[in-house]
Amino acid sequence: MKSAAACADSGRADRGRGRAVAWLAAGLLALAPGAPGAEPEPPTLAELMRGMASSQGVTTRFHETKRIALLAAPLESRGVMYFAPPDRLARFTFEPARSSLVIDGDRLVFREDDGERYDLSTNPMARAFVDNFIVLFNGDLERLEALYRTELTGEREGWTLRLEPRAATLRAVIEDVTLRGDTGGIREMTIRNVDGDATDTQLETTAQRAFSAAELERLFDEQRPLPDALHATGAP
Amino acid sequence: MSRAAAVCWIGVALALVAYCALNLRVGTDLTRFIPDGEQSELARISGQLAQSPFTRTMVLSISADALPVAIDAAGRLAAALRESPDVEWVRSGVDEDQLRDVYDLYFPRRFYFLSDDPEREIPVRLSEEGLREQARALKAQLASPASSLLTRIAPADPISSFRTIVERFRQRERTLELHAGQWVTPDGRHAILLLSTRASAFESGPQARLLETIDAHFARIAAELGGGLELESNGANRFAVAAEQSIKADVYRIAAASLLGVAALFVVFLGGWRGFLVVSVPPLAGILVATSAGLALLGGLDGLTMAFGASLMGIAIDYSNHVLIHQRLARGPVTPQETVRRLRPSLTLGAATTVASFGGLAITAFPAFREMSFFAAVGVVTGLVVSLVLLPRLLGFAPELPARSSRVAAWLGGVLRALERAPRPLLWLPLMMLPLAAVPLASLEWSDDMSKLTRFPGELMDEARRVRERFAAVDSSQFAIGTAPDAQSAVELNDRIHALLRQSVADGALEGYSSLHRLLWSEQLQRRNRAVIDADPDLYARVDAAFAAEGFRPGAFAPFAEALSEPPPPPLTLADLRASPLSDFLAPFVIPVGDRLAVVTYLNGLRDRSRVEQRLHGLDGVHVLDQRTFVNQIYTEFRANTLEQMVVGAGLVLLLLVLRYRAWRPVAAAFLPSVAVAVLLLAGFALAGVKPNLLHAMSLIMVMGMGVDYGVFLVDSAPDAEAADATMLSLLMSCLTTVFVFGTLAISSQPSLRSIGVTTGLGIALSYVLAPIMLAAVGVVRLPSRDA
Repeated sequence: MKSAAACADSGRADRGRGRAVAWLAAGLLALAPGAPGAEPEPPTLAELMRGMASSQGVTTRFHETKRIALLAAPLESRGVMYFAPPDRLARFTFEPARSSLVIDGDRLVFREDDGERYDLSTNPMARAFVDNFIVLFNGDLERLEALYRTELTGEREGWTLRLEPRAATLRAVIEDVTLRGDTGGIREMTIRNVDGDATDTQLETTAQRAFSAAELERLFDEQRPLPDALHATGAP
Repeated sequence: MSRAAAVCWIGVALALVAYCALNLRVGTDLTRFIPDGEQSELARISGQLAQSPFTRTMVLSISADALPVAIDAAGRLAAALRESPDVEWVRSGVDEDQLRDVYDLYFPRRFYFLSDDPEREIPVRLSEEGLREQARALKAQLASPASSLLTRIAPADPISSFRTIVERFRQRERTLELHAGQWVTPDGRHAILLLSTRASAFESGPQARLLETIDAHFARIAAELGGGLELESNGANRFAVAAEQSIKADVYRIAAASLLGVAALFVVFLGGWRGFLVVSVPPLAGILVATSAGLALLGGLDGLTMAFGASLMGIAIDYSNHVLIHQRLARGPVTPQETVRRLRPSLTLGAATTVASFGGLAITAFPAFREMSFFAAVGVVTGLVVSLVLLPRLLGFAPELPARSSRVAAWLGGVLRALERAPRPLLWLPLMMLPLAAVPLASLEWSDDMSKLTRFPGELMDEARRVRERFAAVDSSQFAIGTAPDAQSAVELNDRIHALLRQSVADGALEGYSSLHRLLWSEQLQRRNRAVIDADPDLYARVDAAFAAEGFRPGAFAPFAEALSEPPPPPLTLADLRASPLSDFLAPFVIPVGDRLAVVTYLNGLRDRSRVEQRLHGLDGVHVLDQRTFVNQIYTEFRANTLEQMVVGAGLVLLLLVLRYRAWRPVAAAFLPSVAVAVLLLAGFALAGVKPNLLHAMSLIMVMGMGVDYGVFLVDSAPDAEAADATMLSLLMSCLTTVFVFGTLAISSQPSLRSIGVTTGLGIALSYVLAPIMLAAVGVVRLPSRDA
């Protein structure tokens, strides 16, 4: 996901451009003579969330590693994720097998390659997994703090946000969620389960763009067959 | 009448009323309408299936401009209805508590429910390739975001036996999808709720109350959510309440017309209501005594018997009417007792022929017929006795007849005498039409479809069809039923039924079915499953190796090894399920029938009934039952026997008339009108394209009984002009009373009531017309003039 500075680079959002200028200015000031020994200020959570907010849409490739006690080696998968504000997220996995996880408001549906479909709307683990992305992509600080206790450490060039679930139902399954990022945005999310299993999602190429109505229909239509390959999704 | 006698009569009447009020339980038991011993068990099951949980289930369909709003509304409505005392349960989707109950009951027994054909299928499942395939499937499932539940279960169940059980449970819900835990139709437009009522679908009081409650809650929720919501529903209770409301509306309308007509009649001809009250005493006494005797000696009375018996009192009122009019029109000082003495032979013969017309019913194998015969005999005889004994003492309360009554009586007598002078061939014309009536009679078709007796509003039928299509509800009218002496053998029988029906689905004879097999297998089948698992001592090692080959950690499934080595729990039994929170799910499938148990499988899309029956043929005590067809068959047989008994009864009546009159003319004059009415009515139905039903047949019995009475009264009063005049007036009163009381049912919107009204109204009018014509035609006696 692009930060405000990245948005300014792409010349898309005035808001992002302004923010980048502000950050650049702050950076220059910090290096300017007359301010010897000035330490870069760590980001606040509010700034971080503002920076992560996307008013258009997000497309990102991901590489996920699941460490499950049952498995001898981590389970790796690759795919692409799409976020359309304010509450739609589609996650397509292509390796090792095709599947999709589509969130549309309150509805959360997981589809397997063989056509089996599962409503996970009330599944706490699945809900938490997608809520995290939606809350972050929306920059919804209020919602984030309602769901989790937050602890932000590090600097703008490399920060770590640790989230501890507040709700008992979620705490029974999830130990914590750790987000790592830099000025470019979120780079990694790690969910640690209470039973010791963990899921690490690396966000690779990320682009911010609006989706057309046709694209939205294609992405969020549960009846359409799963896309065959990465390129079919229009991923960056 | 002395005060003491009056008190005595009133006391007896009140005692009988109290007895009836305390003991009367009127119901309709299907088994009373089939011959003793024949398919009685099936009829009992059929009757109980009509009360099964499926008939108490309603489907509510909620739609809105946006699905989330519909889902929200459904959730609120479900919460509100759960508080209603008329509601047993409400289901809106997958209940987390139910999932836990399923887990608690079935997970420890997961190895008992692997396969219907364990010796063949389990080895394949647990083969090297089978295990590796399951390992690959598990690994793919672990990649999903919902793998947290799997990681908890899989170590103890790598072969997905519990998932197999859950899939079997979920088969029922394939027609619906889940959105945030709420059932939604596949088109995503309607949220669906299932609701079970506490009361039977056919108890109109609680059901009407519940329907009002649902509507009130929904209106409130729709207002809270800003409108744009629509509620549609389907359930047997809606039809039952609609039928009752329609009949009630009809009854009020008809009763008003009836009351006005009868009131006008009695005011015009009997001078007021007091006359009506007096003549009502014998028939009311007949109903009271017959009901009391029925309750005391038969233990109860069927609803149809009560309705039929009440209609027979239309005959009993003729006796008291006859006495009153003869008494009031008698010239000179004649005491009521003298009038009764003079009329006793006619009244007694009339009552005897009525009882005889039901005589055939008393010796049939149908319990309902025997009950009707008993009720009719006791009621009519009581009516007669009260007419002969008590009525003379009550006549003093009746006013004098108005002058017009004498004038009308004289005029009717004149008509009778004019008929006597008419050319004989003309008088015989009605009878000569009888052979011609045989032509349309040959094409007469009877309607034995009981569902056509009640008419429902078109909108209700359309709404029910729309909701049924959305929900693809289980067809609760077609079943495969097996009975067994105990729980274990019942479940074993169900296993065999399931296996054969699975083949029927495979070969297309059946679309699907819903069975106890989804919940429970026989102990024998469960043990066979476990035995195959236990017969493989290397199973854990092979699972470990196969799963390790697919990337699982060696030793990850140690809990599976522990489960295999532990003593297995006992198989799941019917008693276990009954005692569990899942007992609700059991109720539609297992029904006690006497000292046996019936297992019921609900059939969907029965395409080839004979093929399914052939498959099930080898199983003892198993039947394929189409509820509608079965009930219609019962009523068809009952209707056919009614017609046969009508003929037998007519024969007995003829015998009585022969014994009484010993000459063909009076016998013909008394008997022919009733026969002619029956033949002409049925021929008329055939010509009009009307398909008569059971209610037409039973009304015909009453009409024929009254027709014979008309003939007998006329024959006996023919020698005396004054008596003949009085009889013509009393028969007119009787005819018009019957037309107003029963004939007005012909204006009902309900086909069942219309059947009774048309038959009775037309029949009794024809009887009144034909009786004097027959009397004149056969020339019983040359009627003297009034001046003679």
